[in-house]
Amino acid sequence: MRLPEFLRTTTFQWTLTIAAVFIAASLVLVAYIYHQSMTAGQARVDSALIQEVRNALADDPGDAVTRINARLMDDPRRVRAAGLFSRDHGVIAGNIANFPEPFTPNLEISSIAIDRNDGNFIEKQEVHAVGAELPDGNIYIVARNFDDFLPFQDSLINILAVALLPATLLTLVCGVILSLRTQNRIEDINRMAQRIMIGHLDERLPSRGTRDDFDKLVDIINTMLDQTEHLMREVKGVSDDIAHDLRTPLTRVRAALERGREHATSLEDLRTAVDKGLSGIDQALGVTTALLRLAAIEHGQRNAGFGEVDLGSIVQAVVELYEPAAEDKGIKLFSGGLNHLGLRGDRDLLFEAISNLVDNAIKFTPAGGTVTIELVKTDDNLILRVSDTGPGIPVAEREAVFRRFYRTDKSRNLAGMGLGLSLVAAIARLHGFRMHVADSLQGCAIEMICKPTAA
Amino acid sequence: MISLAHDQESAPRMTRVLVIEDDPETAGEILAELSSHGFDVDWAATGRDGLARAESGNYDIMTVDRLLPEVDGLTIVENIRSSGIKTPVLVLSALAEVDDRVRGLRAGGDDYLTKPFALVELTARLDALLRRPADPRETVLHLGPLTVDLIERNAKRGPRELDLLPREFQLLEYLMRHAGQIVTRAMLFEEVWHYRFDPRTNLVDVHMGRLRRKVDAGGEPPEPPMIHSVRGTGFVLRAPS
Repeated sequence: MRLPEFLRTTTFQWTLTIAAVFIAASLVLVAYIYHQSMTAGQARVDSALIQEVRNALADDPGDAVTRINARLMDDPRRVRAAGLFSRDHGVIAGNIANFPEPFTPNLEISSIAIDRNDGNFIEKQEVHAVGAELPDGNIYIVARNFDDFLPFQDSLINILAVALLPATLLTLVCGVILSLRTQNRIEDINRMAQRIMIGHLDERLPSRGTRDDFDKLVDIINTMLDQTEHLMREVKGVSDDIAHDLRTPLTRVRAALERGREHATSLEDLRTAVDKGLSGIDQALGVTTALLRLAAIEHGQRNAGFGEVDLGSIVQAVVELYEPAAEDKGIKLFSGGLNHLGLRGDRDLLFEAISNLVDNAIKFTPAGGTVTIELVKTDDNLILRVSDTGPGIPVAEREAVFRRFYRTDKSRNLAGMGLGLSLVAAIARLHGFRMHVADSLQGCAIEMICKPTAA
Repeated sequence: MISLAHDQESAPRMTRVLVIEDDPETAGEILAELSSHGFDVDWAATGRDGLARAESGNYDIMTVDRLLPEVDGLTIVENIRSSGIKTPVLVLSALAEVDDRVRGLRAGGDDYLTKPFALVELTARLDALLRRPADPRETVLHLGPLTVDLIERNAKRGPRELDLLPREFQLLEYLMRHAGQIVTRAMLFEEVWHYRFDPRTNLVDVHMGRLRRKVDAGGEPPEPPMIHSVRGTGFVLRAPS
C-alpha cells in the first residue's frame, strides 16, 4: 500500500517522533505523580497507626476495648480495622475475625491480609497492620486498608486521557500541515527545476526571502546554476572560437585546392596547391590536438605522471633544444639562476610548458635580441621566468593572454598561437603554479610562480 | 589463408601486410599507399576477421586500429602475443593521450601512430619496424665513408673527424641504424629526444641542419651529400653513389 505523499516527508516523520516523545514524557510524569502521592499517603497513615498503638500502650489496659470501639465507630468507607486478642489469640473485641497469621506484634508496620468481620459477613482485606502486647498480656492490633486510594488512580488516568489525546492529535495535525507546506515548497522547486532542465538556464529556483532552511538550499543551488550558466556561455564562446580557428585554415585549404583545380597548368602548380592545402589541414589538426590535450590536462587525468623532477635540468634540456633555432634567428638564448630545483611534477608536461614559453619568446623577438630563462627562489616564492626583448604584451591584455584562443592583434598572423599560452596555464595550474606577466623595461617577461612545498 | 602455399613457393616474396581497419575509406588509402610501395596488402574490416587472419601468422607486419567493432584492437594484439606470434604491430588510433600510447605499447604493439597521420609517416614507420632486427649489439656502425663508434663516442667521415654535440651524435646514430629509410620528424623527436608533444617550430630541422653542415658540408674538397631531405616528411641517410 502506498502512503499518501505528505506522510513520507521528513517533517511528518519528525512530527511523529516528537508526538511519541511527548506521550512518553507525559506517561512518565503521571507515573511519578501517582507513585509520589501513594507513598506519601501511605506513610502518613502508617505513622498514625503506630501512634495509635503507642497511645494504647500508654493508656490503662482496661480501656483498650473502649479505644477499639471508638476507632471503629466512624468508618463509612470500611477501611479501618482493629482487634484485641487474648494471649492465646482468642478474640476479645474489634472487627478482626481471627488473629492474623503470620503476624508479630512488634510495633512495626506489616502488609498482611485479615478477615474483616462486619457482624453479618466476613471479608478478606489487604491492610497495613501494627500491633503490640499490652501490659495485661492482651494483644492490641490496628490496621488500615487502602482501597479508598483507588479513585485517585482513576482520576489520574482521566486527566491523562483528557490532556494527552487532544495534544497528540493536535501535534499530528500540525505535522500534516507542515508536511504539506514542505511538499508544496518542494513541488515549486521541482517545477522550476524541470523548466531549467529543459533548457531555460536563465531561470532560478524560487526563494521566499524568509532565510529559512529551504531558502538557504535554494540559494546554494542558484549559485550552482549561475556557475553552470557561466560555464555554458563560456563553452559556447569556446565553440565559436574553435569554429573560427578551424574555419580560417579550412577556408584557405578550400581556396587553395579550388584555385589549383581550376588554374593549374602544370603538375608542379597542382602540387603547390595541394601542399598549401595540406599545411592548412595540419594547422586545423594542430588546433584539435591542442584542444584535446588542454581538456585532458584541465581534467587532471595526467596527475598519474607525477614524480620527483628537477626543474633545473628541464630548463637545461629546453635550452639545448631551442639554442640552434634561436641562433639561426640571430637571438641569444640564456639561462640563469638556480641549476637544480627539485619539485613534484610531470616532467614531460613541464618540459612542454617551458618549451612553449621559449618558443613564443623566440618567435616574437626580433633578430639581435635575447631570450632569458631564469629559475629564482625568493623567500616566499619559486619563480621560473622567461623574458625576451620582443614587443611585449600591453598591460590591458596581460591577464587575457592565458585564456583560450586569446591573441594579441600582433600575433594573429603567426600560425599555431592562440592555444599555446592557455596550454601553459593549464599545465601550470596542474602543478600549483600561477602565471604572471611581469613588468619589464623592454619586451615581455612571463613568470610561473609557486609557493615552494614544505619538502 | 588460401594463398598460403603459393606464397611460400613464389620466389621473390613480397612483404605481406595485414591492415585491420574498420573505416573502408581510410583502409582504401592505406592499401593504395602500401601497394604502391611494393607491399602485398590484406585488409580486415572487423576485429574478429582481423584476429582470425592475424592468427594465421602469415604476415610480416600488421597495422591495427584501436577502436574496432566486435573485437577491440588492443585485444587482438594481446591475443596474438599470447599465442606467441611475434609479427611486428603498428597500432593506429584516434586516441592521442600519452596514457593511450602507453597502453597500446604495453599490450604488445611495437609502435603507435595517432590518427590522422600522413601516409608517408605510416610507410616510414612500417619500414622502420620491418628492419628493426639490425644487431643492437653492434658498437661500430658503418655506411659508405661514415663510421660511428658508439663506445668511443666519435664519428668520422673518411679520415675527417666530425665534431658533434651529444644530441647530434644521437641523431647520427639513429640515422645510421635506419640508413636508406625515410625517418620522419616525429620519429626523430620521439626516438632521439624522447618527447611526445608536437613542437610548433621546425626544431628537428634546425638540429638536422647543424648535423648536415658537419657531415656533408665540412669537407675540403666538397663531398657528395649523404643526408637528404624528403619533402614535407623527413630525412634519409644514404651512402654517396
